[in-house]
Amino acid sequence: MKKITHIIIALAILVLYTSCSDSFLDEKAKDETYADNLFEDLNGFLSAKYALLHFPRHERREPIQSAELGVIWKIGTDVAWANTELSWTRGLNQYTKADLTSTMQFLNGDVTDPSGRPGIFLILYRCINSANLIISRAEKPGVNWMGGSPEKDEANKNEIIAHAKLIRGWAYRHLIMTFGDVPKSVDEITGENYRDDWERNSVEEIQAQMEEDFLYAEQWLPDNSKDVTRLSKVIAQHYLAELYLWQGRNAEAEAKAKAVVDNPNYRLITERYGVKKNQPGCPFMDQFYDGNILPSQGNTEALWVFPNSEVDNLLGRYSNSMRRTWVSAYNNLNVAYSPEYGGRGIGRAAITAWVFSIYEDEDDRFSEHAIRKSYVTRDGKTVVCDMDKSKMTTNNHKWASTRKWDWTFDDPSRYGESYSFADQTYLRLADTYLLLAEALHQQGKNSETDGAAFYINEIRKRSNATPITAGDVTIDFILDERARELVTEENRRETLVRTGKLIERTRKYNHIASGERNGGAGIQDYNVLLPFPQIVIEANTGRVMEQNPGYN
Amino acid sequence: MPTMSNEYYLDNSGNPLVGFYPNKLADPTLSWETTRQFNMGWDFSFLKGRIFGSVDVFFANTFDLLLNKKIPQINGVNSIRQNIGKTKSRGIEFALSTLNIKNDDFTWRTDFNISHSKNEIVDVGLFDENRNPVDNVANRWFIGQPIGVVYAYKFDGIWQETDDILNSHMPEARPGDVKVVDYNGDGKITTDDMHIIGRKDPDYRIGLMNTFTYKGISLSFFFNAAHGVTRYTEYMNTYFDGKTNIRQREWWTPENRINTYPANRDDSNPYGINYFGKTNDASYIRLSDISVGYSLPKSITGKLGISRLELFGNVKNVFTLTDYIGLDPEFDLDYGVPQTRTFMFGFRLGL
Repeated sequence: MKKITHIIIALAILVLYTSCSDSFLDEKAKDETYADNLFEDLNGFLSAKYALLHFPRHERREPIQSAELGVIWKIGTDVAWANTELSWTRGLNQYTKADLTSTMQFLNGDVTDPSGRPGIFLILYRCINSANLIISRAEKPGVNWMGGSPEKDEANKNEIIAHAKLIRGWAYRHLIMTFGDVPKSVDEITGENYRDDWERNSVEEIQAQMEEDFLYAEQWLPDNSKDVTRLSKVIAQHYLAELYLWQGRNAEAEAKAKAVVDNPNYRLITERYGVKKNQPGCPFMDQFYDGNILPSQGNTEALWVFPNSEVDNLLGRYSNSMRRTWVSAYNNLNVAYSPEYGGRGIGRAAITAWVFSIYEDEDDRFSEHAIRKSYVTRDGKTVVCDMDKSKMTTNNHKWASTRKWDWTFDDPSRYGESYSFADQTYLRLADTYLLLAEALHQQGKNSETDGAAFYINEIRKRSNATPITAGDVTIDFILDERARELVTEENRRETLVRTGKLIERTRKYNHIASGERNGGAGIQDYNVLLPFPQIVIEANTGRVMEQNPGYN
Repeated sequence: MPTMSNEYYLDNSGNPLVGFYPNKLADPTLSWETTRQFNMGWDFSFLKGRIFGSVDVFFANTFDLLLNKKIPQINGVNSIRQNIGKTKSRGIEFALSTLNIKNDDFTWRTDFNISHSKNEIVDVGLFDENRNPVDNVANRWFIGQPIGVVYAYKFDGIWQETDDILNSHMPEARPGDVKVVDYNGDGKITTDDMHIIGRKDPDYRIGLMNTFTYKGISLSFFFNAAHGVTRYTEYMNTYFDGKTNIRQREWWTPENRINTYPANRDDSNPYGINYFGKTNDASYIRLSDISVGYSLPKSITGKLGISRLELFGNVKNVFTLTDYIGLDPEFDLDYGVPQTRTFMFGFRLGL
């Protein structure tokens, strides 16, 4: 017995004196990729760039729920409404106080599960933090830029930083146009220096940061690019033009927009080209067909494209929800899915009756190639689509829809699959033409020979719409032309916010958002900004963050 | 150094390109949690072992608790794991066994135990100017409350056609909509009306076993119970995407003016109430075991030439009393196989 007691005591003493020390917890990065391992040479920076290029693709997908993320900036305006309404699109569609709140999932993300779906706020700040990390590590010495010479090294480095700054500017653009004042973060965040006492920096401060970022990108990005992984400076110039218009710096906006328009590498598509050139169609629509979209496929109008792939299980393919969102759920009319009808739609968002009403009959953008106006059922009956304001009712599966996003698999057994894997044009030259027209108009230069009317007519001529005269040019006409040309593509809410026309035009042209259809209050002045996410306000324990006025 | 996650892009020919972006922040000062605990127990026995039992109490203080702290998403992530805060817990467990009847042929024994524990947050690393600890609302950590609390709007029934909705605190509501308690009495519903409406851990747990033996026969019943748990269940989900899974199939209609569940409209629950009162109360009493056994007497086994033969039967999960509408009051998730009722019969033969 005594011996056992001795052993027990000895063991106890041993355990007491040799319990685990804290140094047991020190880690040395071996397998997982850490920032320190990655940013040693150009290849590491390139892979960080590829991940960064992926962030803007989120806009065309459904990170939250069954509608492209971009509907946040499209419905509830003069051009679009929510057809098959969901609880989270109702708040944006009808501006009901109970639905458009600071706790909405698309703003906050899934708050019960930290690894759950992120909201737009986190998506955008993840993007900003990735850009900040690249920029701060690129500026450190000792990186092997693999250029072969000091000049080439410098060029490689600056081009990487330019991409990061451009995409950072893109993210901040969305943030201030959506939420107003937002915190400015430009440094690398680590587990040691993260903050919970952020303040909301003013829109002006962020705009200044964006301008600096876009100017740097303009300087160091290539003049044009046929490589989808290298962005061209025209994107930076386009966003600068838009930013200067927002700030009332019209002459500077004109200069930037003109630089894009005059760039010989980019031209509007005015002739038939590409995969369907021998089939009935029009030049305007050719640029939307998969196989015609990448610059290397002959697309001279696109400024920024997202590549995609229909190969199953391929890493890097990224489904987009554009067709699913904007094409109505026509299978409810006893119509079979087919490539002719674009594939499967669920009609989450739809174009307003007002947009359909402002096209001339001969305008290509209103032709049967661009707008789906009828279906033939399985029984051979023709169903004509609705376009009248009185038919803008919930779940109207007969509502006319855009054909810009039509795409489905070639295999008939897959016609009804949900997602599209077509390449996507994100930004195109026609948009810049209209920014240029706006900048010229704001300076009183409306002439048909070299002023606003000229550039608007270039767009109209391409689609066989009647040219206008200098006297026709007003800011409202330009906004109308943007709708005719860019509906479902442009982030309409943001355009109307920067021109100060969101409330006025929404009330005038969208009787759902104005409250008329359902008898509610509809859009109010404070709805110019969306609510600031509640989870961010609550987590910012070091400083009180104010909510946007009008929201709880 | 941030940990990187993968994201992929494509090149002109449609080939994958690997990318990395920062997705996790690591706190370099992470270390072990520390708990200091004091236990005390008392075993007792009276009436020559006819009544015996024990009482145990514990007091524990935990420092440097490892928690996922929600941080502002501006940092590019929404949480970080850190050693923060202190909690204190205390609990008591009481066990009692009584031999109620003890004869040569018949015995009846009861075993009873009840346990209660209380856990409360002392601080989570946040203090105000007077060095008083402050709540962290984003994480639902409230000083003086346990870590698992339910912080939400409170359900107050359904708006009926006879209610004066226009002059209420929810003027945009319609008959059939969910009514929310205006907790701070300010005449409107805002996030300030959210409050602690329940706890995720029980106030107390009870076990009760009764065993009867008569000559070679034995019979026992085992009950267990827990009380005070509030739990979310998918089966009350009012949202469009969740409706296919729910068990609650009785909706409010103008002909069926119930006060427990809203109308079958997508907009009848604008504040996203998830807790509807009794249906989310996961307190329960369960008869979880009945066992019967019979040992053949020596006189018979001797004649059969075997040393022993015992027959037994057992039923598990006999019945459950609970208001909870989820899969099982003991389960956190509503997906999976519910607890089955099992019948087992068998014998043990000794040769």
